[in-house]
Amino acid sequence: MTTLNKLYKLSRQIALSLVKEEDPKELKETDLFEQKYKDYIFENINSPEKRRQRQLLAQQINKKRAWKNVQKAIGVAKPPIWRYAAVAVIVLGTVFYFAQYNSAGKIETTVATGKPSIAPGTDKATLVLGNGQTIVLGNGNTYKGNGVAANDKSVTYSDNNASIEYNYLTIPRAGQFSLLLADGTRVRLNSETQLKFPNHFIDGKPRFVELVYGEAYFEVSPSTVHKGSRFNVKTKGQNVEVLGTQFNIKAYKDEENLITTLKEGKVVIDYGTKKEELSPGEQSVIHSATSSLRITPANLDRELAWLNGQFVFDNLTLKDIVKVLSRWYDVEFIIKEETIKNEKFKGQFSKNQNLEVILELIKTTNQIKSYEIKEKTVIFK
Amino acid sequence: MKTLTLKEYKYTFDSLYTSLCLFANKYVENLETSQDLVQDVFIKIWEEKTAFKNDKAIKSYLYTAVKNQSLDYLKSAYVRTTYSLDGEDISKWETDQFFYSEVLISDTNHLLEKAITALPEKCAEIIRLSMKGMSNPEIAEELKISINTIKLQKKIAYKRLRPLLKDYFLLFAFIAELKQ
Repeated sequence: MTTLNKLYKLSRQIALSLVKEEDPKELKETDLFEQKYKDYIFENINSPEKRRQRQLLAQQINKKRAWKNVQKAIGVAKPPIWRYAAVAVIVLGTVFYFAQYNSAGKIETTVATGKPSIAPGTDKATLVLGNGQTIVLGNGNTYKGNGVAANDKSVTYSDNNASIEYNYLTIPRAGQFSLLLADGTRVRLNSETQLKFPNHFIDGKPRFVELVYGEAYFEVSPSTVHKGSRFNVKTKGQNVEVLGTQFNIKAYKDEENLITTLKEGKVVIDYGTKKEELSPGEQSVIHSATSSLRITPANLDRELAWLNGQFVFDNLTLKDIVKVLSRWYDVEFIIKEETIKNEKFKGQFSKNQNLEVILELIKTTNQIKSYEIKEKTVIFK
Repeated sequence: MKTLTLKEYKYTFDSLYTSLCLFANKYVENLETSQDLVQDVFIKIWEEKTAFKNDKAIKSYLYTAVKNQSLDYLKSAYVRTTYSLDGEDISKWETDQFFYSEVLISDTNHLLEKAITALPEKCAEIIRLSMKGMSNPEIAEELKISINTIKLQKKIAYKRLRPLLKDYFLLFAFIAELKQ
């Protein structure tokens, strides 16, 4: 009998003893294990605490979803009806287009005076140092500390010999900020974003930062000037390994996809057991619910528009458009009409204008009859 | 030697997926990664049309493949740099004693869980509380029943489980037996 088959026999005997509330004598007597392993096994199968932990872990495992993944991978899944339904929507759904208005003057006249006005976001952030000290940045605040200096728009770290500690830079809704890391890597951070990073790096050792959530664009200082140190960005189970390059990561809490877009150079995306290389102009899309990873060509103008102070919506549903707007204007949206949530729009706007200007433009498509602003909530009717 | 039909494959998956994930988790200590690894192993046996001698061979194959997959993952460059594991840490996981211990723990728990779900509801509830470390008086208090009832139910449970746990049974046969 193979060792594993002996084990299966032993596990039946132990299970029976446990049901009988007896000590499993077969485990004590077996010569398959050294004593310390026998103790380890006994603890794991007999202690109520270990059983509870096992149960808690088991509850987090979604077998149905896993089976769907497997079915899909081996190609025996039946095409669900909704897939055809989705195609029909794309064919029937009309695409509405609104033009670019960088200068808002002409539109603004249509916005009645006296209505509440929702101004665009500004440069602001909160920095938490390794010792727990919290510094509010933006709005004219400046800061100067050990190896750290901040002005209105950005915070700069200089190389130093202090002990390594991790700092957090958090950008609220309606905020944006820039960060220059101690190795010379520049990071642009969008609204509702948090980045964890060390106060400095050690040349020759891997450089690690973590995009906890949100969106950030990295211009990485090449590893050739840091004794080959690779730069790594961790995000929700994904690791991006970089030699020196420019790329964008989008990982918002309220979006299902984790998107990494490469502008220049080369990065390696590591996710679970999957590993893929991106070429310039490509993006990887990780769907967190199914843990799937795919590589597609990227629309760089659209993906990187935020860096130039623009919103570019390219056949995006109203539902997704309001997600983007709510982050920058710090407002909530309510869409009363269920059917228009999935209506697609196309358009380009400057981020540097009041929300009403954009809402008026959306209204000109005649898909939305009117909207109402109540303090920080916009209701589409 | 035969390859699995889709029905058998699904049966194996339903029966062992959760246990295998918890088993992989002992190596990689991350439940998401564990699930990816186990799914990869299942996908591979289907794609490569792996043939098996019998039910036990499937189980042994799966435990061994999941272990190998987990060790490969731990040795990957990503894990090494991210968690800076040194050689010593991995060598503990590479021993046969560790592997056999985890298989035994997994298989015992798997059997108990499957067996208990086959019991009548009341009976199963009592056994579950008992496994949580509760004494008969504590269970009596919790379920508002007499201690004698508990003793009787435990006897019933034992009687029903003994033939299932004592004799050798196959993975599929076991499930079929429980459903009767």
